[in-house]
Amino acid sequence: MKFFKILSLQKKLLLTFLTLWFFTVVIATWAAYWFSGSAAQVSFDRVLKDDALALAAQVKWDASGPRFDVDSTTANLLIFDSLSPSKFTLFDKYNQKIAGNADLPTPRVDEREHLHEAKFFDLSDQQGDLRVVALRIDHANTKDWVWVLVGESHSKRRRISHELAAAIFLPAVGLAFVIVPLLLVGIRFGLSPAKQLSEAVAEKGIDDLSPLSLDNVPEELRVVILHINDLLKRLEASVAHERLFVADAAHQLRTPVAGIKLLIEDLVRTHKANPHQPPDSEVLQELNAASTRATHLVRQLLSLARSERADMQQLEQFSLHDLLSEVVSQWQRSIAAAHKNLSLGPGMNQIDQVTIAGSALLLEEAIGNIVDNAVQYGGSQIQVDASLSEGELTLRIEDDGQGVSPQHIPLMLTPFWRGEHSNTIGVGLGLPIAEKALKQMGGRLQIRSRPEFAGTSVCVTLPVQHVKRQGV
Amino acid sequence: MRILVVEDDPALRLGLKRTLLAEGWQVDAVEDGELALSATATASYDLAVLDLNLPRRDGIHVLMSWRESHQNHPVLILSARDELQDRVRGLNGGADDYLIKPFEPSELVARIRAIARRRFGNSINLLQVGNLVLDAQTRELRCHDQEISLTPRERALMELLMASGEKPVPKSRIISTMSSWESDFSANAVEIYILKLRRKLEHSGVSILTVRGVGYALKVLE
Repeated sequence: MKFFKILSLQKKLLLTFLTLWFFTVVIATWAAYWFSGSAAQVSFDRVLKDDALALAAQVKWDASGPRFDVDSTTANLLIFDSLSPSKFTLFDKYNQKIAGNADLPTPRVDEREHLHEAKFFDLSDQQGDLRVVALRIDHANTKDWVWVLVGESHSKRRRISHELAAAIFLPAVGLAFVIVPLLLVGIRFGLSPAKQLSEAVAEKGIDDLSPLSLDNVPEELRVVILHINDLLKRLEASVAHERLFVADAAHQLRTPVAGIKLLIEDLVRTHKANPHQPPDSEVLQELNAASTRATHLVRQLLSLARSERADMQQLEQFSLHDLLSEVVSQWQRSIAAAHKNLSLGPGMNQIDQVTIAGSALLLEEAIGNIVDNAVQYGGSQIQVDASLSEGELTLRIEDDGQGVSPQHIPLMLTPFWRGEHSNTIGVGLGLPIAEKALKQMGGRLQIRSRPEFAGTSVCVTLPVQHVKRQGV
Repeated sequence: MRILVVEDDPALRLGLKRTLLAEGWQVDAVEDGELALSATATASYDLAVLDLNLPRRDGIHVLMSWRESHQNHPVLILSARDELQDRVRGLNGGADDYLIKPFEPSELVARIRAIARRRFGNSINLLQVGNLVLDAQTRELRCHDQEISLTPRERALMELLMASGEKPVPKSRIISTMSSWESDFSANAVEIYILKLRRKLEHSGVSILTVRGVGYALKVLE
């Protein structure tokens, strides 16, 4: 079957059709041969019986019994057959031969049989195979009878059989030479829409995501094309989304570059005009800030790309408690001056034995970005807490800031979206990076804010199959 | 010329401001769409340089609000989006020109000049009154091929006067054009600058007349 599976559709169809056709033809020709053969046998038998009847008509009855008063020439003429010379024998009821040109044996008969019906049987003697008919002629009054036996050679029956075979099988074989090309043409014609479809797909340019035409398409392929078109549509949406993202990224990069360029030109100009004057400190400060922002943006873009293409096949085991403590202590150092307080919640004790199978880098990136967001836009108190319930591990990063309005919550996961109170360093990629990274790990991110929550709460949920208690 | 710069990126905002100030123009800079609308509600500008991607209110919305409220000052859109549909959308929204970031400062200045020329009717870069020729490109004022050196403020005032030929320029217009939020140009300051200009124009064959109750006008002496 493996061989059949690797065949082309055209060859499969041809092979199936030919097999079916072959068996049908074999059965049909055999049936035709058999039926016509037996019909021929019956007619030959009938002629043989007629010969026997012709001989029987010449039997005369008198007091001494049956007589056959015909000379052998006449008798031979009565049963003349040009193809095979016939033989005959007449017996009386005592099995005494009355006449005949051969010694055909009397048939073995059962008294219960219908004795007046002609009996046919095959015989083999030294002259060849014979077909013999035995006919019993009864005298009405004397209860006397005569057996009339006529035999003819099987050869003419064999000949007619050969002729029949030739008449039936040869056209069937000849038909095969016509049917194979016709089948091939028919299959090709039937499969041409599939060929056209494959050509239409092959001819499509890399940017051409337009739907395939449904004109003159058979029903069976219509479904395939509808599925392909549906796929193309989804692909187009995804490509459009990517393009929008690239355009947004370019926009975000071009702006700081334009600013840096203008400020540098300004420095060059003022320096030319007055070489001894020190450069304007405001310009230098803004240049420094702009290059910091551009660096941050590039780093975030790379981080986003990394979180989208992370190879989750390479799982590593790491302690969640250690990772969270590390992220939090890093941030504690950097926000100390900003009079903000970042702490770990009481639920951390629950997870000190928890080991996660996944990418530590991705999770660190995700948590780091959420904490960054809370530090940038949240209130003065930020808490990172964890809880382990049946089936899920939940991390919460919460702040007591002014929160986000409900209509802006879905926008927070859109790349480059920045809230009304956005600061100068943010590029609007932190939460999208976190979401993508968590998605890669099979987790999800949920944001709640006022009035539901007094501040902003980012809830990270990781499925439990990534969680393993240490030492278990 | 008084220009409003609307740009959320602080470095670009400062860069734009300094580039335009160096041309002798008065510049106010704001960082979002709402502030842009309140700026044009309280002062009148000769031109606005508008970024499209702004917090609080999109650049296109700001532009449409201006046009709906018949504030017809020319607008030069600055955008990092270089796709055709964005440009068409900006220009259809009522902008006069579209410049893609990053750009050369000289191109920005040239485009602003071109817009101003189209809007204020001077199709060449040379303003001429009597023997005085002001080249907007080189920013030089010449009299019989002799350069008269001017400070940016003096040059801006001279440009304003020369642009209206010998017709008087209202004092209020001089004040609004020469002002920005950081430096309020008072009526006294106008008089001081007129005085300075009169001194510099002494031998040029052109004098500045005070038109009582209106403002000032240039006059070519016989």
